[in-house]
Amino acid sequence: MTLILCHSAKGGVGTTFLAAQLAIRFAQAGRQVTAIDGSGQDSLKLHFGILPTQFAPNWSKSHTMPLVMSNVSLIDAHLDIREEYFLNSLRRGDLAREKGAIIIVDINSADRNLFRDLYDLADLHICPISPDPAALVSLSQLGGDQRTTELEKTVYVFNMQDDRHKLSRHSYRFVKELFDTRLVGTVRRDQAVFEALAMFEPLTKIAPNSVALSDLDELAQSILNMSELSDMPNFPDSDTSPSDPQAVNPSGSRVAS
Amino acid sequence: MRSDANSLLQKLSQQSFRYQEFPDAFADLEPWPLFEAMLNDDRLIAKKTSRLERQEQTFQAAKERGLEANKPAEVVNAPFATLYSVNGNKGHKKQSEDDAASGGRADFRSFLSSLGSDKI
Repeated sequence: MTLILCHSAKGGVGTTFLAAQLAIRFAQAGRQVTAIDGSGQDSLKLHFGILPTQFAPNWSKSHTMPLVMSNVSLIDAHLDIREEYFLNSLRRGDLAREKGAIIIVDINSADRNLFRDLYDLADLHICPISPDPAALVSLSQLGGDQRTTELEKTVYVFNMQDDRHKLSRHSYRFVKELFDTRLVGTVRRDQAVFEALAMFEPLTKIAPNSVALSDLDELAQSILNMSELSDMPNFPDSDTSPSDPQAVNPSGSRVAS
Repeated sequence: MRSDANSLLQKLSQQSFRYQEFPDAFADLEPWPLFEAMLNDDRLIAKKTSRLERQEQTFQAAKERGLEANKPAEVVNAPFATLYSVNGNKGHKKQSEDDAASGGRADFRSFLSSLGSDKI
């Protein structure tokens, strides 16, 4: 199992969008994918076409009332995600037992504590960057006590790139030089992304020729190709180390296998 | 080749267009103060020491080892220094002359290039 965190030091850079789009593409690639909304903003679901008045199950109900959209299991875990029982469940791999399973957690940019708590557990951290000066400057706060450029599990995605604007072009080059191979992808700005959200429809349906789609495909493949994702040390796959069969969720029911 | 350029050429006719990557990727890159601020932020990236600081460090190390230290220390390029005054490396005559000749832009490009080759 692979645990991926999506978190940026600055909001509005497309973190939730990337988390959702990557989850969908990982599922399309045949992976068992669970997307966890740990942001408390309840916005991850919108990228799966769920209405604001419709709610994804929380973690305790996700085993008995799973919500699967685009082959991705959606869980709203912002109330549970700091609790020890949830962290233990992550460690045991209760949420994703298939070999090669992926869990993606969307973390609010303001929630540095949660990000740091989960960073040790995570196999990969994806940090979106946008060509916004405030977002670029905020990168310095990402690592806490550690320099941002020395974060070993972190890779970067340049989102909302727009070659028509000088600052966007220059920011991309600067970031590319700064992070080198850790900049694993670029997603071009496309208004269709917002239009699709406004219509509660997939981007593929609203704008099948969107430039963002091809960029996202390339990004997802790039991440899947990382050798680390095929053999993550932190989490045993179910076929080699089955999770605790007696594990229970907070509601007291047996964890579904 | 950039992926977007590749896609565009496939949509059009590759026979009608020829792709050429500009050799100098930083030709039109401007030294935004934003980038200077970021590069001076120790929380983001370790600061590069200036050539004078490196010379001093080398000299002190040699002196401590009791070795002859009359040979000038190897000068490590700190091209960004004058353009953005990183590490307070102002006033180095040779560096200033070089920068005056190049307008600072070459140093900026060189610095960015060196960033990419550094182990991060």
